[in-house]
Amino acid sequence: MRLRSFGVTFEIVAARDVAGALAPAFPPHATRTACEGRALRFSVGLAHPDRGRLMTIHRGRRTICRDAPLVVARDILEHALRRAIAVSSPHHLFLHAGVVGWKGRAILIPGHSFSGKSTLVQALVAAGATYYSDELAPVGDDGLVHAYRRPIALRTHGGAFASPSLPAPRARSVKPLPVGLIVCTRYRENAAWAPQELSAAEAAMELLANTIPIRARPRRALRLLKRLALGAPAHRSERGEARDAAREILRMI
Amino acid sequence: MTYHARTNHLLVESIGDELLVYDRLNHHAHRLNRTAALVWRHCEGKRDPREIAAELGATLGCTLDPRAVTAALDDLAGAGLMEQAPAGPRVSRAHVVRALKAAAVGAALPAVVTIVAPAPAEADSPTAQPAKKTIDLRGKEAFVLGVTPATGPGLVGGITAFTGFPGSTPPVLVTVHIPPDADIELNAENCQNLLKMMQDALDRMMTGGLAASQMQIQSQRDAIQSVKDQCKGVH
Repeated sequence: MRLRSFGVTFEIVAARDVAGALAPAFPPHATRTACEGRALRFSVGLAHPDRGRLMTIHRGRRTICRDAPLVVARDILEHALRRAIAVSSPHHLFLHAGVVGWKGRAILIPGHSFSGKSTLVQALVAAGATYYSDELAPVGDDGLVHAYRRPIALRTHGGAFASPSLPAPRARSVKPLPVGLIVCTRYRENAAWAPQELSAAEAAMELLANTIPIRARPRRALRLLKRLALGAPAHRSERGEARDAAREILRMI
Repeated sequence: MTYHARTNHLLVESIGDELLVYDRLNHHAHRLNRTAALVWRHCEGKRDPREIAAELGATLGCTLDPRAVTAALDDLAGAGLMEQAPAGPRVSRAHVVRALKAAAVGAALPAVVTIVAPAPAEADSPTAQPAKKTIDLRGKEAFVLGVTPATGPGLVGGITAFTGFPGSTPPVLVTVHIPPDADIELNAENCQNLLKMMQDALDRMMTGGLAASQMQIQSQRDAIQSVKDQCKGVH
């Protein structure tokens, strides 16, 4: 089967029942396509059919997962697809950032893993914002931020995911938004919300540090990051409880 | 002595009155504040620090101490943005700050901030964390959540710990899968045992190299039996 997401085409080669079981790993908004062009090929096979459903996944000729139970294979495939999109998308620049929509603008929360993005996104959504992404911000060449709406996944320090408390939003679509606010924050217990305004160049650096294809396409990335940074105010602060920070953030726009 | 700003393999964007400079050779990104940007722009191989200071002073409408220019040149050279390092001893930044404060100079001190641009694996979750940090006893609450038949992309009714090695693709995934109907009491002690088992597996993978990049639990049944074995004697 061929899927297309953010301009990247994948070919998933798997038995029908295996493909069905792996479907939750497919990127949100991926659509089936019949286009014949170049595609990233992932093949999934049952490693030892006589020993249960252990799966082996290849990307091209490279083995990316061997003898994995379904849940593991699904995780690895989801990550591999997400990463391939983020690196290869021809018309979108992928930032590692949470995104919500508020008053017709996108609030962009760049940050590495364990900075508390997903928790904050969840709190913002609970406070009335529209969910766009807890992980990836695809920015179009026009500077608009698109949604990457996988179910919110809250990861603990142990690396595991907590169950999402919001319904999976995969089916709903939302329109791309201009950036209205950039918030650089990370969780620290009992930290007070004390935002400091960043210069546009500081904001661009924060975004650059979370730009996934920056090494592959730095010229295009710099141009787009400049546009984002000049187009919206940016603030940096540690935060304590996500609910309190969310309230303050929504007041800023 | 005169100074030349490096230009080859650099991408430069002016953002407001600051500069963002991306070095394609080493994938370092630099932010130059206004003063540092002006100094760098004036390094055309024609002027010494005193002359640069005089010219910038006229541009900025204030007096710029030549020591600030020398400090900027040091910073720029340290960032690899000059064709050659300034000759002579490095200027003490603290000394420059003190001197300029005493002189009540109007221009901001030059500042060059450098980061290393992330490789895709670093910018993308969850591989940004060093391997050892991701296996952590604080994760044990995830075990309780793990038996919930969740629908998240990372975990479906199991226990998952991610870890990443520099350069590894995709991140290594160590997983013990326990279905919701498993006959195992997930108390704190069992969690400790599980974590130890996963940590041991991780240690074996690290010592064994990246080729064996996944803990291979042959089946869910084996995994559960393994956990039960681990937990023997705990109760």
